[in-house]
Amino acid sequence: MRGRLWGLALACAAVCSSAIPALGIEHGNLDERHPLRFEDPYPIPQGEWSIEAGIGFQRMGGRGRPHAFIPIDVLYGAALNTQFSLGTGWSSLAVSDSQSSDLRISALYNFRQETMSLPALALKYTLELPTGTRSEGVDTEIKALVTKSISSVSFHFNLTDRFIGERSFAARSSLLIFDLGASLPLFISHGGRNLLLAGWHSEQYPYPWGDNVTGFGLGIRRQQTARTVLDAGVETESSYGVTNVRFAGGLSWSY
Amino acid sequence: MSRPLRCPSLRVVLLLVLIHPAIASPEPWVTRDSRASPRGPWRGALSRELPQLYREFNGIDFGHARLAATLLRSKRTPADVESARVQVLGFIRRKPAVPPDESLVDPVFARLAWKVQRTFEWTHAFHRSLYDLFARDRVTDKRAAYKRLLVGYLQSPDAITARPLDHHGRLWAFPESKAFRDSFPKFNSQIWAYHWLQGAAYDVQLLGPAAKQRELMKAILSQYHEYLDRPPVEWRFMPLMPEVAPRFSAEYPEAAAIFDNLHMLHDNVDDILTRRDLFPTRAKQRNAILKVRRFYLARNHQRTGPYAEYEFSPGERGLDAQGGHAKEMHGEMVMHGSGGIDADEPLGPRPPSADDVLKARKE
Repeated sequence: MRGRLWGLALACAAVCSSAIPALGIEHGNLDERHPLRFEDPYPIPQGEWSIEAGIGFQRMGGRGRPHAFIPIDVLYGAALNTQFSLGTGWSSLAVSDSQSSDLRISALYNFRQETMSLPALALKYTLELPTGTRSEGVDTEIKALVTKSISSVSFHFNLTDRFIGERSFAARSSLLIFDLGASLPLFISHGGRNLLLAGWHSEQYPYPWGDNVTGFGLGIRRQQTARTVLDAGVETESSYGVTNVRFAGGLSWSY
Repeated sequence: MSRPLRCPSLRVVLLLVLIHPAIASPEPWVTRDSRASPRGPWRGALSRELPQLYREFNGIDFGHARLAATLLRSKRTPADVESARVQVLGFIRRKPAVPPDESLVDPVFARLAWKVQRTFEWTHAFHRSLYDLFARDRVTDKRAAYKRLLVGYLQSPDAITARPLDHHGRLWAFPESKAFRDSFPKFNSQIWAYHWLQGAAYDVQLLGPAAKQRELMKAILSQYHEYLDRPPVEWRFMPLMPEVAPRFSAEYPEAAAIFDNLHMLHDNVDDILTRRDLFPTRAKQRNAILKVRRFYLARNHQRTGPYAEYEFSPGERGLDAQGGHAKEMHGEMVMHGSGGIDADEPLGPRPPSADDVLKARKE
């Protein structure tokens, strides 16, 4: 399965990096979980601060009541093309997951801007400290981010290798995660304030014998004022015939 | 069955093979280099104190981006360009509350010439910061704040020079020069009307506190909308800050020069995009746009920079307002070129200053 994901990732890299002149779009800054999992390779501008918060509900495959989560992130454009972020959150679910109150510290570096033939590229490194309920071990992630546009549609490709600090017996030491997304500005003749997003993801199961966790997402981002963006989205996560659905809404504010 | 992709070194080799077109591409490596707008107590003041003017500027941002998109992506027939112009007018009339993301409206231009887009965005941010500053009554020492903004602006490698350049001489004498004006006079005049408003607004802002600015700005906006309704095609050259905003140009000459240079760069880019016969490929368009950008960058005009020949020399040629020798012949302004450049081109009637409009509307 890991091999297949790599194959898919390399195929996407080939599409995104081919030197074929194509029409495309440069869009606003897409950040992880605002509203979908995928993000673009662009940091916030140097010297800018951004606070991103939200609220969401997740329904766990029909079991019990939906649980709530409230993520919050602070981003800072520390240098040209470089963004640091600090994030955490609260979840009503007792067990630890990535949405719980673990502290996430990230650095993103953008290598290049998208041009006519070449995609935008960035790398992101994340350290996740086990500050959450029943959370153990320090996890790390390294993520490659690529964006390439065709006409007004931008395609976003994220490949993440997540290294698990504290794992159960026989569990994988690292998980490969693949996110593919597309974004399209709506009503450009009205200024293009709304951005429609669609995404698909596939993530290795923590144990080698398990099927991948896959899912789809659909969301929208709206430029509400010059300094605020609203977002809303719905995403699924399916594995072994069980589907979790999460709804989330967020607000990003920059200064 | 063996799985070769499990071998890390093979993955790296495969990745390198796949991305080699990116490395070998003739297209230059372009970094994003976005900077935040300068911070200060004035930030956002224009939208609170003069919301109507703020919304007009949002429309202007859309107008520039939509024009470049049309020149790049359409067949550029007169109908295409007129349709785009009408669409821009519709957008302006909706009084947009939020500045549009220009790279969403015109994604091709942003990808074709990101460095120029960066220069535009950085200079537009300086423009907007000054409107905010003059709209903020609480900031009493505006000159000190202005100097701080100017120094911050010029520190960026994307900044446009504060030296007056030879707009109607060498920068208006390229093979493609005047192509946009002559091919699409209505849209060209509409763009110049934007630039007229941008200049006139500053001169009104210097007349008093925000409440007075709000009162006086009505006449300027009314005149601007008359230009949108009936584009001043009789103008043969872009409005210059010293003509439109003499008070602002005298008090803040560096900013006035930067904005004139910015507006001329817009005209140069529009001319390049209009002449598909001279620049038939995207690569040629990009190279021409990047070449002309170099003439404007502040870092190329320090002491004896490589582009000193593009600087304006008083007494060589120029409009009266800039100290040159434009003169009236047969009822029209005529500018005199030298060295075979731009000889005796009629300028037509020149745009009024903000004070002219305020006076005329009062009467």
